[in-house]
Parts: sequence; structure tokens; C-alpha cells
Amino acid sequence: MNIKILDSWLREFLETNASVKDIARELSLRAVSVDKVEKTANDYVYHVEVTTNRVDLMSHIGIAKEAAAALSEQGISTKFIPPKYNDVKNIGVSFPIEIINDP
Amino acid sequence: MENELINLKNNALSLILEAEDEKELEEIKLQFLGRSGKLTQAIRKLPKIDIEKRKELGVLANEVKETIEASVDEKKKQLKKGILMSKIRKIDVTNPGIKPQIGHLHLVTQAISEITSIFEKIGFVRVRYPEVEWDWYAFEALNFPKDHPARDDWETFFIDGASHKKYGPMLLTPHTSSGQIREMSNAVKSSVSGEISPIKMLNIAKCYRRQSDVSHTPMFHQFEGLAIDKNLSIVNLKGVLDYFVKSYFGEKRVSRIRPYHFEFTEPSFEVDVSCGVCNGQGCSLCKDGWLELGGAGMVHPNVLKNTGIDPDKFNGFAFGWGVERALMMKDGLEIDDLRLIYSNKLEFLEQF
Repeated sequence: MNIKILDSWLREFLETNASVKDIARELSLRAVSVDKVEKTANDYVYHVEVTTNRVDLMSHIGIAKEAAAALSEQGISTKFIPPKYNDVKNIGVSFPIEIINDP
Repeated sequence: MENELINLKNNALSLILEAEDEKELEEIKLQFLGRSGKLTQAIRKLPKIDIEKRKELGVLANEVKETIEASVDEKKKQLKKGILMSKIRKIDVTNPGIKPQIGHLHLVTQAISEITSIFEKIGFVRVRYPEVEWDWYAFEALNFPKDHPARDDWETFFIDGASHKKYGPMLLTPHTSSGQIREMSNAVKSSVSGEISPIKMLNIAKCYRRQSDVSHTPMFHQFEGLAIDKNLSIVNLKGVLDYFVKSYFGEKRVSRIRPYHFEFTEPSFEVDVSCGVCNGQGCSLCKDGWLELGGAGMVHPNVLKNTGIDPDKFNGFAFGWGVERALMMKDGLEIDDLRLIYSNKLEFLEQF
């Protein structure tokens, strides 16, 4: 299955100096194929072909974990930044959706 | 009357002498000897003549008839001989002969024999297995889950025949990997106390899939290598791939493997070969200097188990890809429509 990964979003979970090209190459050679890198206005989009045995890579977090391992292996120091799930903010508004059952 | 007969004879003889072909001769013969021919009419007058003279004239008339018939026959023979002679005279024996048209092997057949001879040198034996196959050999034993999309009848040709009690539905081989199961099962059948003899096989065969467009034909060829022995590793696989790439594509080309996923190998790889046009520098034809060639991997333990081989004792590697693809990558052929290869168009085939 082909998925799109946004470079800036990926880097939220990565602490690295690796270039876009480095990430694409190391992922292709060591994990899942990056078919192409698309340049947008101020970002990059990786087109990644995820094989069915690696569904754990069908997310930005999954790709970030894999990239951290692949890049470190090649001597490009990279650290995975785990997402923070626990600081839920109370914004003081109740859930603004009304649910009506079918009669 | 006597003069009349002699005149007829002379007339006929001069006409026969000048005749140029058989048709004309027949006409002359009719003109004199036919039912209303000149001689026939003259003979009809005979009964009115005195009995004395009639005898003489009768003999003469017969003579005239025989002479005309004989000279027509003679002339016919001459004409036939003449035609032959004129033909013989036209042949110039110093002319070079016309060469008989000789055909040549189809380009796919040429590629198959080249691939076979490359693998022969490192001990891979070419094998042949059925093209009409059971589901067990094509999918089930190769570790394909029951609901795998390749087992859909939009991908594979299933045959409207009775299913096998043990091996399931009948189908046309969608890949050459069914040969792996056949080969391993055979090895197990001839094994002695659980020890199989090592396998090195090359299965080149026709494959069938339900697709037909510019880059796909419903029938195509794949070649499949399988090696089973004790302590084989990815290093052995890489060595074989490198050997093939260098022998088939040229010394300057190199191969690399990338992780991928196939049901019947673990780990699985995709095989790339460096681009021959830019020598790996990256150009419009390739992807950063690499061209995708096909798949490979270490045989999945489940596949070994399915054929009765002990995965703790034996392991192996397999690889396979399309013959047409390898052929196009080798020669840098840019065939707009792959279906041309099987179109039987002479103007296309004669270029190879």
C-alpha cells in the first residue's frame, strides 16, 4: 500500500541532521521503498510503499521509529522522540456534536 | 475430285507448318477432319462418283486424312520440344542460386537459452513442471493466506474443471514458484532417512495472469531459481545474483537487494541492477541509477514444512523474475507495447 509522509510532521518525532535525501535512501535500502520525494511549497512529501508485513510503518510515528534505527545504523546520529499522549488539555467546551438516532 | 483432295492436303500441310501453338493445331485439325471439315465434306461426295473411280479416290482420301493426322501429331511434338528448348536456353547457370528463407528463434526463446546456459555453469539444472496446476502448488503450499488478493479470480486464471480432493482448484500457473513445491516434494519422495539431496533448480516457464495492456501480456515468462541445502545464507543468494547480473548484463553492472515482502520467503528482497545507460549515476531511465529487476528471498520455513522438509535442518534461497523484463533491460529495448512480442508480426520479429 502506498502512503504519503510529510517531512515536517516526520521530524516532530525525529531529532536528526539527516537530509531529506538521506532519509529517503536509508528507508528504501533498509525498510520500505520510498518511491519518490515530492517537493511542495515549503515541505517535502515521501511516497512510501509499505509492504503488508510492515503495517507498523503505516504512520508517521512508525516511519520515524524505523528511520531513527536505519539512520543511526549508518552513522547519522538520529533519535526518536516518542509522542506525548498524557498532556490532555481541557479547553472547557463540551463535545459539540448532537447525536440523533434514526426514528 | 482428285485435284480437290490433293489441294486440301497441301493446304492443310502448309497451315500445319505455320501453326505456332497446340491450340492453333487443334483448330486446323477441326477445319479439315471435323464433322463439317473440308475433307469430311469431300469424302461425303464419294458415293455419287462412278464405282471405278470411287475406289481410287477413296484410297487417296484416306491417304490425305492419315497424312494430315500424322503431321498434326508431328508438329505437336515439335512444339513441345521447342518450349522446353527455349526454357533451357534462358537459364544462366552462373547466376547465384536463390537462398531458401530460413527462420530464427523468437527473441524470448533466445533469452531463455541464454539464461539457462548462464545458470548451468553454476550447477542450476533446468526443470519443467505443469502449466496447468493445482491451487496447492501455486498458492497454498507457498504460504499464501486463503484470502490473499492473488488468489482472486481477477488475478489468476482458474479452470472450470473438477477440483482435486487434496490439492484444490485447477488453475494456470500465475508464477513459476509452483515449481519450487514440485521440486522440493520430489526431493522428499527420493530422500533417504530424512536426508534430501541438495537442490539447485532453474524453472523457466510460461505464466498466466489476467491483465493485458502496454506493459502486460496475459501470458509471459518467468524464471525461478531455487537452492536448498544446509547452512545457505543471504550471502549465497547475493553471490548468485551478482554472478547472473554480471554474466547477463555485463561486467560493469552491479546488483543490490532491498527489503520487501513475499509470502513464501522470509526475509524477502527486491533485486535492483545498476543502470547501464548512466552507470549508476542516475538518469531519466532509472531510479537514482538503479533498475528494478525482480524478487528474491530465503525460503519461508512454512514452505519447507509444507513439502516435508525439516526447516531446522535445511534452508535455502529462491529468486525469480520476468524473462521479458530482463530482456528489455539488457538490450535497452524500448518497446512501446509489450504485446508486440507475441503479435507474430514479421516486421517486428525480423529485427532480432
